[in-house]
Amino acid sequence: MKNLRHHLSLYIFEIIILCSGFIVILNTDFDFWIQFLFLTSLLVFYIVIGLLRHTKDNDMNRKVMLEYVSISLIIALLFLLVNISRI
Amino acid sequence: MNFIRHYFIPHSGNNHRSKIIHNSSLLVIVVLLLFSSWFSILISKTSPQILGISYSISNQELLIMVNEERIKSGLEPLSISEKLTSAAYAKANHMFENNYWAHFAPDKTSPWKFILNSGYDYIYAGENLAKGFVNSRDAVDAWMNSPTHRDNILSKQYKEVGFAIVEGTLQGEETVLIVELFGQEKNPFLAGNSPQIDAVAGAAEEKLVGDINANDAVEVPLLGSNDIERLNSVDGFQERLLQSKPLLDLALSAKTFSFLLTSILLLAFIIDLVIILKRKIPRVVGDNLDHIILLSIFAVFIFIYNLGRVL
Repeated sequence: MKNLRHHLSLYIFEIIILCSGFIVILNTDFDFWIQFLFLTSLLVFYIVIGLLRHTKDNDMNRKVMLEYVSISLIIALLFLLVNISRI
Repeated sequence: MNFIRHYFIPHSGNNHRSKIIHNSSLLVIVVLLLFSSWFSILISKTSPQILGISYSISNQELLIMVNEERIKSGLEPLSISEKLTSAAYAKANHMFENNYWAHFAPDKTSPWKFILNSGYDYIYAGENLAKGFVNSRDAVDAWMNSPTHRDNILSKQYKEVGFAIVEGTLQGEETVLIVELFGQEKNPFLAGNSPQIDAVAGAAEEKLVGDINANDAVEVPLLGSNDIERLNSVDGFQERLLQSKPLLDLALSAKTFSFLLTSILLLAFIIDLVIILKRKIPRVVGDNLDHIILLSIFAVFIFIYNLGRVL
């Protein structure tokens, strides 16, 4: 919970951006590729903010980076799978 | 039990990190997802009867549901107009042929042109569109949840309705399109200079109304179990049912699978976080809280995400 106390504002900022982003995706349902573009931007933001925090805490390494990228890829692929009839 | 412990509980055997959230496992999931996406696309294109979108939409159900909503609001139920129905089919086919998802075609053809071409000389007319819905209930619910579409359904001005349910490829997407056209035909005894008023949901076009007043709301009995018989007895009403029942419903199974996988990963990260915090074991791994935030928001998103859209 040390992380939570140290980076509370970053976590709140992250939650606000992610929630807003997914609301935008819900409201751009007229075009799948616009939705996918927004999702990709959100996932890049998620990776950057996560790695930024790890850099600040001096515990950044390749494994951590791979973990963030893997989770983001899973989310992107699940979104593709759900929208497969629109591709 | 050992399997669950190994994959979900951090302990010395899995290097104090639940196995399912190890980088190696996450990469396996990525590869499996890539493969299943490719496989799903392949099967749905080559054998839609095995893996495809399951849907069942009928004009009869749509009429009953729309009329139920009108009756709840104390309005007269609408009757089916064959002219509006043929206008709705003309509009739907025009949308597929010209590849647009809008009330007005790219060449500025208005919905009212289809109505007039069908021989329906209207005083009031309106249009609701929907695509991507798998059943009649979801489409009507989506219209009712949108204030402008709801206004069309609950308008006193309309006396008749026509539905078209057509399957095709619109803007690169295999979909089922529903066109719902409302209208009130000119009374032959009042024919002459009656103005025409039309409204599309979302962008109600208002030309000034003349002296024509809509009838007051009337009390009508609620639709009972013999609705279908009663509707079939209406002159000119012909049930049109569009349905597809593949062996495996692609949309539903993809959504369920995505929600389950997201929930499993979320659960694994939460268990891992709680146990490691309790045991105070130092590790250099990604921040579980970060992943929990993203996965929770995505799980909610997938849960409420609907492929159906109204216009």
